[in-house]
Amino acid sequence: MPDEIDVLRRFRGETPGPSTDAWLRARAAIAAARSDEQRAAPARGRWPGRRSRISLAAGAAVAAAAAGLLVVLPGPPATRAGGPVQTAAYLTRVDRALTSARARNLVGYARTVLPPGSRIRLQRGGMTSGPGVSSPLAVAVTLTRSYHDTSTTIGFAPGGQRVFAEQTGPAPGPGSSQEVAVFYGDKTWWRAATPAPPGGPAPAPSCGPGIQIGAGGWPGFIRSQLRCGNFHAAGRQRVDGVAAVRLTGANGTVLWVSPATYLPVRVIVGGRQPTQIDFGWLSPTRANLAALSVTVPAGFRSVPPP
Amino acid sequence: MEGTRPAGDGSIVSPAGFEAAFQQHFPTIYRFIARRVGPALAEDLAAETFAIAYRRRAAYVPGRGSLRSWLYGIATNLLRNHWRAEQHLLALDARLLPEIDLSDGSDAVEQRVTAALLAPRLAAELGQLTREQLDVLLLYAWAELSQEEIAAVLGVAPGTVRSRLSRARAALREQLGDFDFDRWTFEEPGGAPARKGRGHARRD
Repeated sequence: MPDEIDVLRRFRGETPGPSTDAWLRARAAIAAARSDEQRAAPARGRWPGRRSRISLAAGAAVAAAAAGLLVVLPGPPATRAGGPVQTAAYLTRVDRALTSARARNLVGYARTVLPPGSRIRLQRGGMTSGPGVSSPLAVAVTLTRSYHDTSTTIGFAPGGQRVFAEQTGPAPGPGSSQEVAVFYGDKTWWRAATPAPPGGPAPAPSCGPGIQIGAGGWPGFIRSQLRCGNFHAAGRQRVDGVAAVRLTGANGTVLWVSPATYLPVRVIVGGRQPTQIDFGWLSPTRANLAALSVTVPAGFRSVPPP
Repeated sequence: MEGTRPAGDGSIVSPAGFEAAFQQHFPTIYRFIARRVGPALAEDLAAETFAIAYRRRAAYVPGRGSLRSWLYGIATNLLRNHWRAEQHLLALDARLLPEIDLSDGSDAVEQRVTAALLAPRLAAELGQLTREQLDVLLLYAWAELSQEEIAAVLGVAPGTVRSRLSRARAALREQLGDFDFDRWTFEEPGGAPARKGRGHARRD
């Protein structure tokens, strides 16, 4: 026999379940909790004794293009079921474009939640990620910090373990950079010198496919994309406590931007298997800069770069 | 999601166990929160619920209660910090008649009209309940936890849950006085008397 509880069960009964954004947000929160736990855990499993520390000096002159010319967002539809997700491949480079905040002297921070089943392949000069990528490195989340010309990315497995750490930065020689990658699974590492990309000033952001960040960095890029009509403002939302403007673009791309700074707060790309990147912009304190260093644990074996 | 369950022993300590628990329970926990404070805040609180659950996962002991009720406990604690938002939403619902979709012309339309007419009354009455009564009532009605589970979730005696639930239900019945539960409609003037609420609600 129905009663007041049955009536109450219909009240707000049409409330929908979680959206894709809500799922992604929760996954990002769990990933952050897992990351905090990893950082707080005692240094178990680390090698005792001397550690060789590779700290790349920031601020040396590398071609300006290293930070400013990277492709960030897809133009035409690029995803297909089962195959490598091209958007995700581009997005690994979004992280490096964090250095475009150099004019503001900020440490860029990006947490990327990759689609389930993603793998990352590290090569000299870059990385490719996505569910269809052929690589032994299964990665769920990456954390990237960038400052001036130095950028460090750490990849975490779905279980929260560190999978790799990779750093790019200026090399001693003129106009070149070097890259160091550490792999915790097989305890190997490699170092590679990377010639700087062809020089010249960064071009203005394009209105066509293959969007690039130009010399104006993120603020210039966002303004240009709004002008081109590649993105449209779609209201305001609070994202991680930040009042942001929601911009929608092609292929389900959504970008949240701080209206105060024109710096990104979050981006979600890739329709069926979306990738979410949360951005942070930090002061260059000693602690924040120290996080840019990659340490090769003692006993790890040096291997030739791919 | 079907086919995903925490590890065989019910533990959520392992990554696979926690992932399975997340996939299984996130939609229901999110929806419970969204019904109470709206979808915008629900995204934050549901994410926070599972972040807290991850940090405290070692404290969950399968033999002591269901995972579902443990998660509702975390969510309810978080919701307590948003009491004003919940009250604000109830106050809005008490003033506004929800939109009704009349397009299909079926019998369901009549039920939807009735539900829409009931909504402001329910919202007004829920807004009058104490925080403790509201927690118990909604954990019982929406989360469908048993009174014993609610007692464990809230850390109170089962008798306290019974008492709060009884008072909250009585208050609702009082508010729905002329509603005929059997015919799912309001009592018609001069018609058969509806099965009305009994007694008068007292506040804790």
